[in-house]
Amino acid sequence: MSGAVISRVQLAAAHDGDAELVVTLRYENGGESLVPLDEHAARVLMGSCGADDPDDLVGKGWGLVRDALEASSNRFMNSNSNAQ
Amino acid sequence: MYDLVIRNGKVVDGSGAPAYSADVAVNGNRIVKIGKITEAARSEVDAAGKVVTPGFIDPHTHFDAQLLWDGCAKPALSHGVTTIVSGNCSLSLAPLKAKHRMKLVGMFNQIEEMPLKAFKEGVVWDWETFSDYITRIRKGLAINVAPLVGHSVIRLWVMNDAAMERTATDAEIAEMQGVLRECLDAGAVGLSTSYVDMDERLQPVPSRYADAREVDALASVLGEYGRVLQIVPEFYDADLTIARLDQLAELSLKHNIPTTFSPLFVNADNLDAVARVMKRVDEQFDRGARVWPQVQTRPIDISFSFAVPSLLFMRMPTWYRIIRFGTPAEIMAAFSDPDNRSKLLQEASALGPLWPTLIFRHANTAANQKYIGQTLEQIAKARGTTPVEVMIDLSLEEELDAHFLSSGMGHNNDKAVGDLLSHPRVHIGASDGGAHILSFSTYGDTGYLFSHFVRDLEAMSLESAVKKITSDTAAIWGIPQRGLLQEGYVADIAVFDAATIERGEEKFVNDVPGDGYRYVRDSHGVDTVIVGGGVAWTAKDGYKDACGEVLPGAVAEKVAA
Repeated sequence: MSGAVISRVQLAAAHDGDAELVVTLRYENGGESLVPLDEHAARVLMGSCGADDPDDLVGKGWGLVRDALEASSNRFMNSNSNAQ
Repeated sequence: MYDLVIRNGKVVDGSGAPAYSADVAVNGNRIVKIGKITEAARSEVDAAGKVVTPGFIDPHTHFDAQLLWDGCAKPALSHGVTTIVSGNCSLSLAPLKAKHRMKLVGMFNQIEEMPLKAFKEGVVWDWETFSDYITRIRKGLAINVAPLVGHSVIRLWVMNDAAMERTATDAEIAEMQGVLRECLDAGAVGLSTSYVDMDERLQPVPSRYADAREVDALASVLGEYGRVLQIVPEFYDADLTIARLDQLAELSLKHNIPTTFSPLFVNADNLDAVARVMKRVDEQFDRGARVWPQVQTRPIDISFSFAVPSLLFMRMPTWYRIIRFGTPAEIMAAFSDPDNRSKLLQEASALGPLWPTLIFRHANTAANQKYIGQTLEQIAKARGTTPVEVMIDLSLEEELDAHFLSSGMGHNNDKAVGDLLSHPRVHIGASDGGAHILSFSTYGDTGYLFSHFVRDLEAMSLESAVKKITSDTAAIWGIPQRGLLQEGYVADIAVFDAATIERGEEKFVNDVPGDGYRYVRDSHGVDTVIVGGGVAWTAKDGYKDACGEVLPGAVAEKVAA
């Protein structure tokens, strides 16, 4: 999947009532899959791509999506806090 | 003399057969006669102008905690729901060792948005085994509960911390099988597992560390009892969902068990994906597998306040920059500054049709309570301003703790959702009742089914809709003698006005332990709800008798044996 790139970007309603960014990854063989990003991951991805608008993400590589998701989950790796 | 007679109603018996006029007589917890009944009764319900149906069964809830302080699962019962399935998505409250309690609370908090304070102040932790938990919730139960046991919890019980680190050994799998048997013997309706959920540290929940042989071993135990396997697949990706349902189909065929997966959402932009999933569902059913997709009736709403950044504003850079990077004081300053405000208004005009429809749903100040539930268009009219300015002003007045809701942002293609709900192999459910209590209301999906898809859109007949949420559900879940109005069946009954039934407006109420709040919806058009022959709720008097049971119960156990 080395050549998978973002082919589409949508704002969507998540199951839990939050807005999320859903990027479509298009693979070299023509297959597609959807990846939902939370607010933190979306912001990291926008930053790493130098994008001002979500549509600017189209054409960017899947590795940046992976890194954004990892950055989002890393926020919680060393925290046991779940206070509400 | 009968204990109870429901007179003059139209009987929609849950089989899909056309409605007919008849009275329904009940003795004890059983329906004993349907027809013209002249004999007297100790208690009577006048159902003139209304329909009389089996009580509704909600197969996807998370009432596990709420049942510890509320045996009615309010307000589900008032909507005509007489049976709930709890313990979905790999999470149940038992079996649970004392040392794992806070771990599980963290998962419930992260995944189902159950407040920690409710657990701390509403729960007396006096159980460990599934049997003890069942004994605990039986006290004062007014609604029937068919409890799933969660795979993540069984894993924690057997493997402790390693449950979230690795696959299980053969010995551990054998021990998990034993624990599952104990839970099924104690009354569990099946096992739930998840392939997507994460805990409070955004680490995969224990069930996600299971390999195929572990799931197969647990499914084989379900096969001994003929009980259900429920899963949450990677529902956002059609290919992965299809791969999971293929795995489910193999387990269903190998162990002769019913399986169900949820959620399955349909939007204008994923029609092809849903069509592909349903094609595979049909293919697997044709092979003899039972793989029921669960589809919810209500659309998905997006809610937000300016206290927390929301991607809803991502296509409006001035707004997003302020709410993403500003402190609360800076956001309020930006909203107050005339120059900045005019920029915001100009940028918001690109989404012109959205703003008037937003619903104001939460305020702290007394002065703004009168606007709760109104659209921004209505409030703007009352204040002589525009919807966007009202949204800004209310946020300032509430120090950013003003909540707004954009309704119908997903699962909102009426034609596609209606077709899906009508599909004979679609299981109507996925309400999530008892969860996400601070984000949105998970109640009233049955009222919405009747008001929107039966009455307004005519996407299905009243009889078909009733069948879908009564006898179909009972059959899928192996719940005997419920789901039909038939002599000899248990008297779980809903009486409602088909012309007026609907879900009420969403409202924020203060009824959660620990002085907590939640979003709920009242029922409209439901007149009387009967559980196990007792009048559990009426529109006139509210909650009454508590005759709920834990299902599938002893009859099912005998059937399985």
